[in-house]
Amino acid sequence: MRNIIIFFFILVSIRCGSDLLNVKAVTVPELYNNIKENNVSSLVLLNIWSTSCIPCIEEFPYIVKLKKRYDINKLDVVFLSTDWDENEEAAENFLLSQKVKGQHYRKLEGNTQEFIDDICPSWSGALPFTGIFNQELNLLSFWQGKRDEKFFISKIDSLLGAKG
Amino acid sequence: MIRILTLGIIALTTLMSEEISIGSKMPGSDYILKNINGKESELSTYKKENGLLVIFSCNTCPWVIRWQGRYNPISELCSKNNIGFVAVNSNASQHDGVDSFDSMKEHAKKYEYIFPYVLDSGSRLAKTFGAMVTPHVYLFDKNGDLRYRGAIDDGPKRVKHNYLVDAINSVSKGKSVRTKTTKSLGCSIKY
Repeated sequence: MRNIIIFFFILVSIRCGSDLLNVKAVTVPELYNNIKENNVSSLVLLNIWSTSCIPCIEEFPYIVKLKKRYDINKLDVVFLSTDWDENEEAAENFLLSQKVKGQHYRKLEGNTQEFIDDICPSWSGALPFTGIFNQELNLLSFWQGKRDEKFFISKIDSLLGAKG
Repeated sequence: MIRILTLGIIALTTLMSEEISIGSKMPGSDYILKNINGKESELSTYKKENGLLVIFSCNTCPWVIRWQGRYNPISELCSKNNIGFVAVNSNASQHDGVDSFDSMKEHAKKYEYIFPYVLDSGSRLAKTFGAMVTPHVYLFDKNGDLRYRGAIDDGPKRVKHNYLVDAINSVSKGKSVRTKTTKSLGCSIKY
């Protein structure tokens, strides 16, 4: 009986853990290592945003919806905020307001040039930035600036189709 | 398969990376730009003996606001070194709204701009430069050759590298610019 209670408790803890939001400040290598450690999806969509960026906020809700649209084996959605330290709380509150759960990230302040080039050397630095990676975290497709929901779905579907 | 994806990435990159390169002649020098004082002039009229600094900016971008305090001192440094300075608003899709000509005038008044702030109708100049983000600067020398492109500095709070100030000082003395290109986060230009 005792073992069953412990097992049930562990099960509930794991379930609650995945329902919690956790935001970690990272460098790009740390971001990639963290994603690789936990990834089970064929594709990983990384959206880089900021609470200060209106187009980021506008496109945010339909990126959140993508997580529900696709099976976790096919697509994972990861958010990386570029908010400065002073806006850390605002960024987390925004994620909570959008009902975002699980592990997400915030850019460690400083070294912006290195950060941009490590993500994608062709990225100008304009926000929002979205990249779609394969399981090995090779960048397959990216775009900068706001896009509509159809664009996201079409890109993901075409990459999933290409993977067979 | 990987090859196709790589080609796709390269094709996309090519489409997006048409930003003018170091050593390029200043493009769009004959483009007419409307200054907030009402005067319409070609871009080249803002160039002074030792060159021209073009900064793509706007009224509302938080990164512009954050770096706003650097504009007047940099303009003064340019002036002291006989380099022209012009701020360009290329947010064409917002020229009927938050980046309208009247809003630009109000913005310049609020932040006490001491330099020309011009409207780039249809984002023509930004497209010609390949500019995609605000704030973003292009420094041309006395011959109209691009010598520095990128961020003002590596701020916002603790500045370790004053890229633009260093570049202005080098260009005005005819010396080589040490850091020629940099990047920073910012708002996308709204073509």
